[in-house]
Amino acid sequence: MNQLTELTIAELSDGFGKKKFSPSEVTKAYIENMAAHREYNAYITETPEEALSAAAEADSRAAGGRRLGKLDGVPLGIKDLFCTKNIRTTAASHILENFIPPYESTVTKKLLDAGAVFLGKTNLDEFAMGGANITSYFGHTVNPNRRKTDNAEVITGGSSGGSAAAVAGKLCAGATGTDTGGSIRQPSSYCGIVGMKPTYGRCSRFGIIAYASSLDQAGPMTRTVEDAAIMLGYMAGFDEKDSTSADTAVPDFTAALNKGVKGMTIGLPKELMEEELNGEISLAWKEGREILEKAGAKFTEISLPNMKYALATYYIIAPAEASSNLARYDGVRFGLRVDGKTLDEMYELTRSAGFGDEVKRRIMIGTYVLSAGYYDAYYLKALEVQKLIRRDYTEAFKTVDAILTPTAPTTAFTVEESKAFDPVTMYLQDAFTVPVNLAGLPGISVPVKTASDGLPIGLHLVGRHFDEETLFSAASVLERR
Amino acid sequence: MDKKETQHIAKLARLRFDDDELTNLSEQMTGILKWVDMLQSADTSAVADISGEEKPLGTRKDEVKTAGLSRELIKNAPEPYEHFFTVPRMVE
Repeated sequence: MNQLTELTIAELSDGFGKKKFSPSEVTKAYIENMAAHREYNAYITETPEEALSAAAEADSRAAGGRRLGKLDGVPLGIKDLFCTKNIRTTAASHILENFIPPYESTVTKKLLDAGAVFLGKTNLDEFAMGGANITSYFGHTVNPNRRKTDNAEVITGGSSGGSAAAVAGKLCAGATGTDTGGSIRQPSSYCGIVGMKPTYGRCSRFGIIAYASSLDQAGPMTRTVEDAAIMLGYMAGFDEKDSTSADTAVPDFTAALNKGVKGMTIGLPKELMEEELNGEISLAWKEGREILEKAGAKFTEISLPNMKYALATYYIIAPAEASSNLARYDGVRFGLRVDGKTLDEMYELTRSAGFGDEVKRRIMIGTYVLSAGYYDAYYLKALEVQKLIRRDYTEAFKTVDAILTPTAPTTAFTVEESKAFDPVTMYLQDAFTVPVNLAGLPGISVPVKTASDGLPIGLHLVGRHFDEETLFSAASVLERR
Repeated sequence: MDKKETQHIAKLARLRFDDDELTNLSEQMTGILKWVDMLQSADTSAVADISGEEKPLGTRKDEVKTAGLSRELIKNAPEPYEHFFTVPRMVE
């Protein structure tokens, strides 16, 4: 094991600045790890040559005392949903298997401008639709943590499963993810890393292949809370190419790290406390509360009465938007084409061959809830319930600064176990994370414990709109125990 | 949701399924729709009174801007012809 790949982003930055080691040395160490751990299937496309050439440039900046900042020379993994100029971008779909974007997404451009080194494009559920990273056209990802009770190989969670596996397995120092219903936080919990979904609008969506545009948001996946704060600082900011990105100042998130939680009031949703949770998850939640209490936070019960509707609401709104967003994959301008005698036949053959089962299922649900006769009963009703869910949070945040829950209802499971799930059971894995996307709020998952089966458990903190700082303060207390 | 209805939605979505897939999908969609039907029990009668808190989206100046990428974009087309996208013949 190479010591360099054990270091956090903060430690790498410090070492580069003090010339203890160079970006090229670290990049090479990561490239070796990637080659040694292909069994995780964390990357769809590896870009070692581009990485080494970017690292060489970072070397000379470091040697000349001209570092661009904390990310300069830091090797990152990029979820293969971010368009990267001249680098294949697949969304883990057959339909985009050979797509090479001629432009760079705003978030990855910001990271490149900060001097980051991209090691490659990480695996995901096809078009980010899934919670186990088993719907990828390029095969499922494997969690670097194994289940001790039966030495079973378990899934990473999804949809940002490749990024989670790469960060946990030391195949990159940090990674980008996207989160529409839990796709950053849930795999972070399953793999034992930190994952932050910022407020909707905090990061530009320009150049991120769209799933459900009103819910999609990019965020960092890292080994420490400090690293997440560093990375988010570079990813966030207004972008005129995304009219939903917020024209709000980006604070120095790292300044919030050592603020502690004294005087902070944290809410516990009573609806969740009344539910029968998995014993070990429940215990981790209780222990997390005790840590924060000991550090000076006060706890109070809150009510989110409409949370029980969140998943059903999500599984109307997200597929509706997806069915519309994915209409562009028709074999005309980019991606796969399967020839047909007529235009319609070409569309149908192309889309049927190009999309996997879960994507087709969501397109079908979305098309149904938007179709004549069902639009009001399903889609409009879901938008109304979404407003109720938002109001619940607005009311709660009148008395609390953050909300603490588990991130996921279980630890990671095996591919075989997941095959026994019907679609609805699989969707329930996102029960604690989905409401946050519907309300557009920021949320962070922090690894707090290892369950008796050896698999990581994460806790989930949710904050007010554009108050990621409170989450970083509380998350670093949880992490430091 | 019966197979006929599933077939109709598939047509709208420009997707094709064989008979077995349709049977399977009808069942799965029926299950999912039965589950999301729980929303009908949510009392949304007062939703109109909830005022929007979000800031309205900003607008930008109505200026023509071009990325100058048309040559590069066409490279991703499955069957480009010069700088055109091609499709099957639609009129005789």
